[in-house]
Amino acid sequence: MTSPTGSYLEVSYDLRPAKQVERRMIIDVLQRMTAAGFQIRDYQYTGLGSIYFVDFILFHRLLGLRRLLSVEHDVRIEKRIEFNRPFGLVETQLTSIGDVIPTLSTEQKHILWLDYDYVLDQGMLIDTTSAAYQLSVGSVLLITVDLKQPAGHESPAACMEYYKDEGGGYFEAGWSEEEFTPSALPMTLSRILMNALRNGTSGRSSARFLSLFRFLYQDGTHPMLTIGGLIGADGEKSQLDRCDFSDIDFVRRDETSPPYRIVVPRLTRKERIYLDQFMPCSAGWVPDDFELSTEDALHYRNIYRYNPWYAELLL
Amino acid sequence: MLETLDARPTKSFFIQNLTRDLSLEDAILDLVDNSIDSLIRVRELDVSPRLLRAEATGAPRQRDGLPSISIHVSDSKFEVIDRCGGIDLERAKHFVFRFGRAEPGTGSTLGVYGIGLKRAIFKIGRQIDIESHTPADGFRVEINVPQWAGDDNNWDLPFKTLAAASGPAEAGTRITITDLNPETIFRINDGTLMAGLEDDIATTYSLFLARFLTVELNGKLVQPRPLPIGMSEELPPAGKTLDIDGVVVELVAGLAARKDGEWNADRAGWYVMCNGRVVVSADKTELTGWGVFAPSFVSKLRGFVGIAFFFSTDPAALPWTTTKRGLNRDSKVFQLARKEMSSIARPVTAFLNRMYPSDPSEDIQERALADQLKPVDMSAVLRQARPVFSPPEVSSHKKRATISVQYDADRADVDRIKRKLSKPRWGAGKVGRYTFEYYLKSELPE
Repeated sequence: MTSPTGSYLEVSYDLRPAKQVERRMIIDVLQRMTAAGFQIRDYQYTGLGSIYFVDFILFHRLLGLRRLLSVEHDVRIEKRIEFNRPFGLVETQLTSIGDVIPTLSTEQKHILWLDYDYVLDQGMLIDTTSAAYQLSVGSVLLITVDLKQPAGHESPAACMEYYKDEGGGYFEAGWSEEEFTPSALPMTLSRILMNALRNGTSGRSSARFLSLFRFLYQDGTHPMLTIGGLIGADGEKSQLDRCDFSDIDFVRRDETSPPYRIVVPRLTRKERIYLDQFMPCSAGWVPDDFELSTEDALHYRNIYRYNPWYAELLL
Repeated sequence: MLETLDARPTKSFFIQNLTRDLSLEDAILDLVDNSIDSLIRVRELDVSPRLLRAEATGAPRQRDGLPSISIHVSDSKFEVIDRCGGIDLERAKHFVFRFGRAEPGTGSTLGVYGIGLKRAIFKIGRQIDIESHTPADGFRVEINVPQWAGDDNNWDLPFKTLAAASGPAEAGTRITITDLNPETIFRINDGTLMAGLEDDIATTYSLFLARFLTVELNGKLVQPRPLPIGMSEELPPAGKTLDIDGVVVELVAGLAARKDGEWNADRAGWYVMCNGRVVVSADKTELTGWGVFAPSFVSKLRGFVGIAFFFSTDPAALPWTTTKRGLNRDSKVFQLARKEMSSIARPVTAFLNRMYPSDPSEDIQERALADQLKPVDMSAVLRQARPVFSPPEVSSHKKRATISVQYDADRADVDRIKRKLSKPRWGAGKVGRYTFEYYLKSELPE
């Protein structure tokens, strides 16, 4: 298994615009769920906070979560984890997330984000299945994986071999190299993860994985995939039906529909302030004052509400 | 008008198919099951989770008064004689010899499919003589298999009524088989059968032996081989009880007792028991969730012992296969239990992973804890079990961030590197470290 940490050294976690947009979109949905009666405030958030804890800060500030658990595998940064703990109520555990999942209380509803920064492997699928089995009804489960072709397995054929080994029983009969080209990979990996989730929920009285999210985005040079949903039965399903998602198009309730692609166009601060005056724009709209393709204008329309502002502060 | 085609099975087809997938050991264990079932019925043994807690009813107090099963094996004769209460005539007439007719509402027995006894005797030999006495009646059935199989139209077995047993202690059944099948003779003479069989009986019936009955194999008393679970004050196992569709499942996960500071890898893994009988032992495969719901079993997990007890008064609801040596993977009860098994096992495997970091030079606190594990009986395990295996908190600064890297390299290559570096006196270890650091610096600069 690859070390679950390491990318904290490669990417500055707090400066990842697409990742931040994804977090904000997820929070938007969780807020809408709160309005439909889900007591999200009382959920426990368990994630891999690394040394930045960005998700923890958002979940506490914007959703009011008070039970927060960050799991870190890398014993070398024990003190940094402790040092960077943003709030007193964030608990940390220095172990692997897989060891934590079976200990998550079944009395408690959870938001569990298996936010891996490496390519899908057998260990992740074990975590996914055990989370799908362990999490109480009403809990939210999110899984993020790196979509880059595994090192040394760049061709579709080699890539397929890799996922056949790692996917085990979740690799579907009849798959060929076509499913492992860069463009097909998101749906294929999403199928592998869905198969693992189904295996995890099978036999639970009526709870299943109710799909909510399927995001594709770029983190530095790495394409990333996030799958998310609610562990729920018919009751939770109808409660979800009551959520108002009418004005947002990134929710994926149907697990066969393609992922939502988050694209953050590169824009200057001045350009963004200008564009915001016209948001939300209609399809085909382009600014008069500078060059921007219709696609980028649309991409910006999709994310402007969630897009972080970064600035340098000279203190 | 429609005519009909004859689709009835021939007896020889029937016998061959029944016995094909059954090993001789399994056949002999089927006969032991049959004797134990007599005991369960007659003594009303409480085969339920109470069996594990030494509160079971029907337990005879005196060891020398225990009902017995004696097995005699030679290459000319196979015999099982039990003093387990016998088979009454009514049951013999309607159920015991009827193929595939399991008795209704029979209780928590080891027999399930109404097939074990018949299949076992046909597997072993061709001349079969069964005699049984209860305190109420007695009977004897003799079967010459080739003769009986010769007539496909008549499935009846003639029997003689005999006198009743003189008392409950004398009631029992004798099964004598002669004219053994060539395969049986071959196995008996190959020299490995008896030792393996003793081991199988010692493990399979460890919960029954010495408490409710004794088994003798060619005159030698078989000692029970208890499940290898261990315990110490600081490391009690985890325990959990579930009810899945009326099947009571008791799960225990913890560490094995250590002998001379070592664990026996052969005995590590999951044990699955149905109505007290071991069905799967020391399993380390995907069957019990390894590599599916828990990481794959690796040698550093050799201290792990998990036990899954399934109990039901309807034996058909239990997840065993007809040979009772495997699990029915499609069983919903087992599918669900398997996830719980992996879940309860995880903190134990986490402990073992911490205990064996890759650098063995470190003074690992987990090892000192593990050395205190002592063998214990099941009732003590269940009394002390906690919902989650929770070893004492080990201070984290003791955890190592390093891992030792060792590999063989071609001497010539190492020499070439030394020459290139102009460091002829460097040892191979230093070359290894240098090249490793070189990769880190050039490929993964921080």
